[in-house]
Amino acid sequence: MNRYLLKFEKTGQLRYTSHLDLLRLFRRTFKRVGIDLLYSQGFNPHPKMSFAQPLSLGYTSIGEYLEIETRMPYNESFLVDSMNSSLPYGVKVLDCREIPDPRKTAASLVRWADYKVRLPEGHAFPTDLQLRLFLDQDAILVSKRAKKGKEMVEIDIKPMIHELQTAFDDDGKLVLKMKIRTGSESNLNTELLLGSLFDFSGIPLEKYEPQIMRVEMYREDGRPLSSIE
Amino acid sequence: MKLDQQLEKLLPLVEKPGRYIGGELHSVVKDEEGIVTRFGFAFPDTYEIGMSYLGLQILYKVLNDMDGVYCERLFTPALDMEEKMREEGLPLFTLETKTPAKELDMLGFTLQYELCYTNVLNMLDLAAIPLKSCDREERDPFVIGGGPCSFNPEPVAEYFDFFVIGDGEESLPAICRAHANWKERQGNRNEFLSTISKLPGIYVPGFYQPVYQKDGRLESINKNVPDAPERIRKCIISEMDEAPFPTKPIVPLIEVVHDRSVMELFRGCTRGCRFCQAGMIYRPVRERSKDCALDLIEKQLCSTGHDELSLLSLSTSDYSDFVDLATELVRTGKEKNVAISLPSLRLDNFSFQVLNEIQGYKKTGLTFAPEAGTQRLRDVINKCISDEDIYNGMRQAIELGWNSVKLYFMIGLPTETFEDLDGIAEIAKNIMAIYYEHNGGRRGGKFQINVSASNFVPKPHTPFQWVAQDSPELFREKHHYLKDKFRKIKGAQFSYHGTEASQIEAILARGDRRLSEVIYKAWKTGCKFDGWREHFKYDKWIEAMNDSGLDPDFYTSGKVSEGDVLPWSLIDSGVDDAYLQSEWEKAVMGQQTADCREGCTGCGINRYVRCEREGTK
Repeated sequence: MNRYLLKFEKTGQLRYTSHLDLLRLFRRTFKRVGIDLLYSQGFNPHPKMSFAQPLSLGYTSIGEYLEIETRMPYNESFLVDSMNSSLPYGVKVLDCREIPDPRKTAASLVRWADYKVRLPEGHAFPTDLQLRLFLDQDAILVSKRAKKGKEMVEIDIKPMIHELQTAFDDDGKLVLKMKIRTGSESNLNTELLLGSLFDFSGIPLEKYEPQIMRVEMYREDGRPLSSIE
Repeated sequence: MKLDQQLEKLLPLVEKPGRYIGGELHSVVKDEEGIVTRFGFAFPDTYEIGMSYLGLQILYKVLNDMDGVYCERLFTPALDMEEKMREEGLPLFTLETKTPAKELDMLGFTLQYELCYTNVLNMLDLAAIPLKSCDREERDPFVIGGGPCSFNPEPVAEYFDFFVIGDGEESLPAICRAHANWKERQGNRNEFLSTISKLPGIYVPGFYQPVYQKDGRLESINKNVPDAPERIRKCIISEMDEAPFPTKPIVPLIEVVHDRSVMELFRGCTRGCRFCQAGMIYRPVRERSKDCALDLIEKQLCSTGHDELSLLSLSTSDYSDFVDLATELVRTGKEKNVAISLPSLRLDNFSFQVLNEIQGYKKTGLTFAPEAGTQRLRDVINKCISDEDIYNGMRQAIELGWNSVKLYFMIGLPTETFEDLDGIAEIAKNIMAIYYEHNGGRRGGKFQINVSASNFVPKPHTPFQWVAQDSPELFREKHHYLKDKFRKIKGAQFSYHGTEASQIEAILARGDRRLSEVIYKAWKTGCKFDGWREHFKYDKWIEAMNDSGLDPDFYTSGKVSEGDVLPWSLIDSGVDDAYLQSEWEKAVMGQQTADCREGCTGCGINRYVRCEREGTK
């Protein structure tokens, strides 16, 4: 058994496909290019592959991770090249590393993620002062629907924000950058944060306006998920 | 703002935006330079349903394999998307290049079920194409209809410029070639219609004028154009091994109803069930050879990476090489982790062996369609299975470890009495008894029978095209009668279909051209997605009938098909009217007609084409 961690990007129109759609897409692609995944035993065998962290529908990403188990060893760059020869436009494998076994799954290691938010041309961002005032609150309370049941609960998201600032992107456009809690233990919904921030700053924001990109995922110690000891 | 920018703004706001983005594996991108005919293949339902339809994949390939032709896809936007499109002024567009439908040369709708007609109107309206053929101008696309409903296209005749009757693999390319010619000589609309009306299988409704009698029945169908054909004979492709079949079907990005590779083993059916329109209009049986099928399957699985394969036909077990093919597929499927799904199996020994192999411990989904509750009624409909077949099959299923079976029946079949309904309950009771016997006489246990009853809808081109459909009241009475009976049978569940939708389906199925107005009014008052229980608005349909001065009863009672001229008389399915008549007479006498593999039964299709399976058994 061999385990690999694939880093990939999901861009363009493909952002309108769901987490499960993407899982099926990868499953078919592995089959097409003939990479022999290990299948689970039992009555309903399925290939061993899982994403480090689901990406919300509508988001793009240049820092997604997929963990796979194969029946035999593959050369890492061969894996990258053969996948990219068959993946549809919008998904591209950026990197692949073998991971020593046994260890924790990628999904269980994710603690933080970087996001980058763009807004339509001319749309206002919170000023640096507004950002500081927002973060300087004793608590940043937002209401969110409880996991089970329908009642709204109020939570403090302040400890879930590590970094929140505006910056100029490579193409000179203003973006909002954030590093926030991500993963199975604690996860901050980007839109929840945006809603609270823009509300606080008195800037109207429509649901369709923010274009959100995940940039990278990190472990608790701040190292990117892809770094392997 | 450009169309794709407008679209970009809407996508984050709608459910399942993946329906509207295109860009799937094997979707075709062509250089617009050199394209003469831009064809839109329109499926009047949502993306998930349309993309599960094999005919789309076949014709998409056929058209895109032609130089100078570019075929793109269009589906009905879901209600939330439609609302946003109308707000934004975004017209109906193709998935491939986001081109407004109005800019295409042809827009071909596949008509798979009658209850999609309002969606056709809605799509034309969203495309800003005039709804009626007579209102279209030179620059509008030609609107084409095809699929099984085009065998009686009259209810929607006014909305289509022409229909393609029968197999489209050869006729669509012929139409495109004629279109290229016509474009080159810069002809006008009418001249194009006149040219193609001489091609096989093309029906131009504008060339004919129905004349009605006082009581609403047809007096005659007169030609407006002297050289329009007398009758339109359906197109038939004869060699399946040579027929085009996709080896690189489009692989949807989002989950659709059937996410799998599909192999069409054969077209047509030799059994001759008298209620079944498909069994009549797709004659004769044309098989793909086993080698050809296996080769295409292999190519398809390689190019798609699908992990499920389904065999498609009207009666899979009737395939001549079925044992060899199934054995081979089960073997390779296990090797390659590809699940095999086999719909329309007969419950004989071999089928059980195969199903047992495929399903292993996970025995789900054993379905079986006796259609009627008594031998008498099964003889009437020519569903040639006996009580013994049913019980032997069920005994085998129980012994092999199936915990549930689903049985399909039809309610309201011609000559049906309450005794036949009793028969349905009796079958369920007897199957439970077989289970108890197997269970060592103990009552109880987890075996489940799910009985599902659909409502009989008389269809054109079948031996039952003349008969009355039960009234909604009678259907309801029968449903309640059975529901009551089933309450007393432990382990059996009874479910039935909505009666109102079946009534509207029956009206549209045998409808004449006067229904165009009804469909328009129904659509105008909000009817769409009528095939979806949650969207179907019965009251609006009845209101539309009343407003148009038409009586639902006229159509459902069969009055519409009394006399010499029927609304679909112009369409020649290849099956003789005399044959349908004699089948009807035999039905009433409870006489079976043998499977035509045992010898020709004289339906008439072999006047036009060789029947390869005739008398081969």
